[in-house]
Amino acid sequence: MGSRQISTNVFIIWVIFLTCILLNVSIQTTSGQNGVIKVGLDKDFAPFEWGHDGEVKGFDVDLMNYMAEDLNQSVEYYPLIWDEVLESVKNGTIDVLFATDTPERREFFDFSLPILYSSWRIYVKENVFGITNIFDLANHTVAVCNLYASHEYIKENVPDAHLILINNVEECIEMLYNGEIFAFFTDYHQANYYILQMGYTGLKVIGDPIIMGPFCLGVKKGNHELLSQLNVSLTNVKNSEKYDLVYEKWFGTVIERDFLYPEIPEWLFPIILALICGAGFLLLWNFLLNKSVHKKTQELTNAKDLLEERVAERTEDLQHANTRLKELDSLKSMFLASMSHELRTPLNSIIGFTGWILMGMEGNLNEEQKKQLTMVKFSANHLLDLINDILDISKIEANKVELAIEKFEISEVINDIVNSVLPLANDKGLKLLYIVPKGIIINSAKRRIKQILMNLLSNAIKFTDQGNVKIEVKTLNNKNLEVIVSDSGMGIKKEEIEKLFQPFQQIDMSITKEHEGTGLGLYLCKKLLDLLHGKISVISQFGKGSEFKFIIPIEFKEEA
Amino acid sequence: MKKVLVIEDNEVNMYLMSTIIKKLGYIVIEARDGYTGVDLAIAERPDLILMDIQLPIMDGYMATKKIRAIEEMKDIPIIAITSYAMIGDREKILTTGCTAYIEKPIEPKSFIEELKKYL
Repeated sequence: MGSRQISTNVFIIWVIFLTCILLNVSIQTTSGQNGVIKVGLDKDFAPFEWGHDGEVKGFDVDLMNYMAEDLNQSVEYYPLIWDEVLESVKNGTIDVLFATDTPERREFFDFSLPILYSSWRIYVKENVFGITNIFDLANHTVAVCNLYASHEYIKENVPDAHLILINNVEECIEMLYNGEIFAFFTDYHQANYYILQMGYTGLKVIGDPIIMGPFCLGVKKGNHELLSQLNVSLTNVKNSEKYDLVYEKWFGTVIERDFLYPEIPEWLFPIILALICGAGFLLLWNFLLNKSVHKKTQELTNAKDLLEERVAERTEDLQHANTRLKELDSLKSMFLASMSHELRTPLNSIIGFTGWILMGMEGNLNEEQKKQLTMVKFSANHLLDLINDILDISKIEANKVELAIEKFEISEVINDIVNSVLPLANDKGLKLLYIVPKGIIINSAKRRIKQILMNLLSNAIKFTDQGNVKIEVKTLNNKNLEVIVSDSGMGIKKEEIEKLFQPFQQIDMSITKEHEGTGLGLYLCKKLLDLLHGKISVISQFGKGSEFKFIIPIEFKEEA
Repeated sequence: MKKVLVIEDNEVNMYLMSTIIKKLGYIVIEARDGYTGVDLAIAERPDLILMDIQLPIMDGYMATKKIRAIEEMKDIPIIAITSYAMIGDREKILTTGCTAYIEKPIEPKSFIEELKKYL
């Protein structure tokens, strides 16, 4: 069974082979009979074929000539309108045409092996990149040739492209060269031809081609003999250098620089290499710098932390110290207040009993006894004054003074004081003058104002040996009360005035012995006037007298 | 004979005052604290009371109030004996019900003058 099958196959192959030989002989005979191949040309299809009777040219013509040469036959060209060409081949008046192989055309024609593939391509300026296909033309101005199939194609597929319809390819090239359009889209070979003819550079093809189909030689359907001859000669021509010559002649090698991205010139490579090395070096340097900055930052942070810690410690220490100081300060004031109280109690009895005995209530005293007891009483009173002043000052400094604000008439207060110091003034033979208008009522600390006046008046009397002591009272703008206590006494030296209102600053220690005082009086006056929102000042001429002046608000307000 | 009630915790002051008062010819009743002072005031019905403010057990303010609360003694003169440290409290002393005040240290002369106002 098997051997029979094989022998049948061998037989069939053999028959085919024989047929082929016979056919070949017949073709040879046929062409030989005719001698001329009639070729129909589109009279207006540059660069493939165009011209008129007697003068035709184009890629197809040159190729056909070489093929005829190869076939050893002559060719006749018939430039016609394209429709006529198709018709002529269909009815057999013309043997051959050049056309793209399409399924529709195969009904009427048989086609040879492809000569080339016709395609549509995008043309842009050399400096344009990044276009990979027609869809990238969206939103760009694109020129297309009116009525060409390429126009329909792009209109259908890229509706967003701004299409400009141009009559011919030359105009498209011109516009692209002048920058009036972004791109044009047309037949590859045609465009290349015109660019070559027009001598333009700086344009290029970009993106994927739209392959339209193989461009072939066509014969009337069924004319197998002629088609075989054409295929043989076409293969021969394509395998020789003739095809390349013809191709180059018409389409050039111009712009098949189909880069998507710019070409990098060779001289740039060392520069790029140097830049990369430089960048690398910079990165390394940056890294090292970063590292060192990081290290320093860490050091600084540590130092800062340490410093902050120390500041916090010191602040705490200071707060402790401050609290302790405040405690000590208030302790001091409390100590003084309490000591003053304790010191006063025994003084009460000293003053009380010396006074009682001096009155002669416990029997008569002789002169010497009286003199000595008077000294005791005087010293006791002085000690009491001192203690009272210290008590007042410590109370003021401890903020424990109660001012006892009340309404009172200033003239009454001054009368009281004048009456109590009058004996002292009389003893020294001094005149005590006072100018005090009646009816001035003020709202202030009556007892403290008495205390201040008492201090100033007794000082004035104390330090004046002859002449007079004067008290003057007046209101200023109905807002303030001004009290002036002046004397014709010894006066105060300029350099002593500053010290006057400081504690324990009694001028000239030799005088102190003569005129006993606590040395706290003026300091206390100043402190009290501060509390009453008042001011004290002094004018003095040494040897001629002094003038003490204080001003207080008529209406005392807690927050002045 | 008129009676003076002296309420004072300090012995020396008490001695000074009672000496002066006796010398003037009055009877002295002594109390060392406010509580006893009130009791003795009720029991003895004195003609004048000398009241120290800082006192043990019951202070001078409270004692004054207690005495004033008794109908029969609402008009009895009460002289407060104040210390220098109590300057701000004088108003308080008078509003509590004391008739007057005498400041320590006691000067026998002015002390006698003050006593004579009320006896």
